Amino acid sequence: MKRQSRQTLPVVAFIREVLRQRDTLGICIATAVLLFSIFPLVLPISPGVRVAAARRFQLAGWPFPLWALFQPLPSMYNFENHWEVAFTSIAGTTADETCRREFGGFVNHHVLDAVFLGRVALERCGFPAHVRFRTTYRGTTVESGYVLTAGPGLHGFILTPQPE
Amino acid sequence: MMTTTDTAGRVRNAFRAVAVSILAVRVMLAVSYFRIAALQVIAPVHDHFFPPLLRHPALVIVAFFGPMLMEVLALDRPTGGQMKRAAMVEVAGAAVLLLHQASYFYATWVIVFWAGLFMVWMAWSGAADEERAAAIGPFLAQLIISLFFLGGAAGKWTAGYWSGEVFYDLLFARRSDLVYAQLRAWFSDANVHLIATWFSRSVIVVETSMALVLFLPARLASSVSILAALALWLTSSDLFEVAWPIIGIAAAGRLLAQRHAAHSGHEVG
Repeated sequence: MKRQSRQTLPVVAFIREVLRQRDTLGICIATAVLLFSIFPLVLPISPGVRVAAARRFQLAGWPFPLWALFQPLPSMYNFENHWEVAFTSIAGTTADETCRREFGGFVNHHVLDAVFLGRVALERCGFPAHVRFRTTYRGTTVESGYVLTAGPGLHGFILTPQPE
Repeated sequence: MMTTTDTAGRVRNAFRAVAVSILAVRVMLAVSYFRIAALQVIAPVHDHFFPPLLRHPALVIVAFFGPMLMEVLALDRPTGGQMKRAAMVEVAGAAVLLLHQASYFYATWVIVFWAGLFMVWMAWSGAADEERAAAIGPFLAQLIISLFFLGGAAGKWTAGYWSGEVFYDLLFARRSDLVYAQLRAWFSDANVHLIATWFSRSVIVVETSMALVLFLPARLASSVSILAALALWLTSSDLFEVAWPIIGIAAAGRLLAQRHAAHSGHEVG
């Protein structure tokens, strides 16, 4: 048989195949991807989605089950995120200035990873500590605050959201 | 003429490409996940958000190391049952790590979760029907890669990223990776700023373009996805954990597309 050189684009092959023979699993995965794609696409035009997305990264205002549903949504280096930390126990000292410098500036979009990953250094600077996050994206700004206080054990701490 | 066994072999190879890429990531990260679990024990963070089970150190260990055995079994001519079990465990492990306090912020588990779903599809639908695997598989691979880059691109459509300010502070001014340390040693701060600006703009353009990879022919899509993943890895050495699964998915899409060409003469891409 003579080999045909005709090329079919994968998107066309996919549509033809699901019309010819239903592939429930394939359709479910494709639908899930397309549904998740809506959120990044409307991000620039919807202030509501922007606020929700920023709050999702700040673990603020989202019930855990709903937040969990959105975890498969990819988000490498999203938004402009700042954080600052004030260590009240050593306020006004040289150590306070050193600690403040160590923890300020831009952070990744999952802003609390700075706290979870930096827990040892944070503890070294002393508790209680006040952490402030600010996320901005195309004119929308969302802020949240947390207090870190010493935990019941030898190390570790309690992370409590501050009312706005 | 290609037999069903040969075809099953193609699907199996595509499956193995994804499994190997994730297994390689786990091997590289194994020590750090012991450290992560140890930190959860030594310095626990009690927060308002995560249920106690999803802060437990043992769960990180189980979710991280559990799928490794299945991935190893999938390396050598896995049976249909082994593929199904490996795929399910892959998805479950990634889902847990996406929800755990100690690991929810790693993009690794986002791409592994989607790669796991792709493996589920290969293990059930793909392995059961040769034509279907070739017609649907390449597009699913491209769709997942598109979503991954779209999620990255959309969050960077801001003045701060376009000016390079964000990446300058996050990477160029602070990171201790060899590349960034050398740039700081070789160039003045103003020039490092300029490099950061053009780096940031390149990232925006590449990620935005990669979001359209679902419309490309299969082989071209696979090639540009692999190149983009390698570029991602180059920007930060620890991003192998994201880059390798993307390469695995892209390679799987290519392998499945080859099958379609060989069998029917109607080449997918």
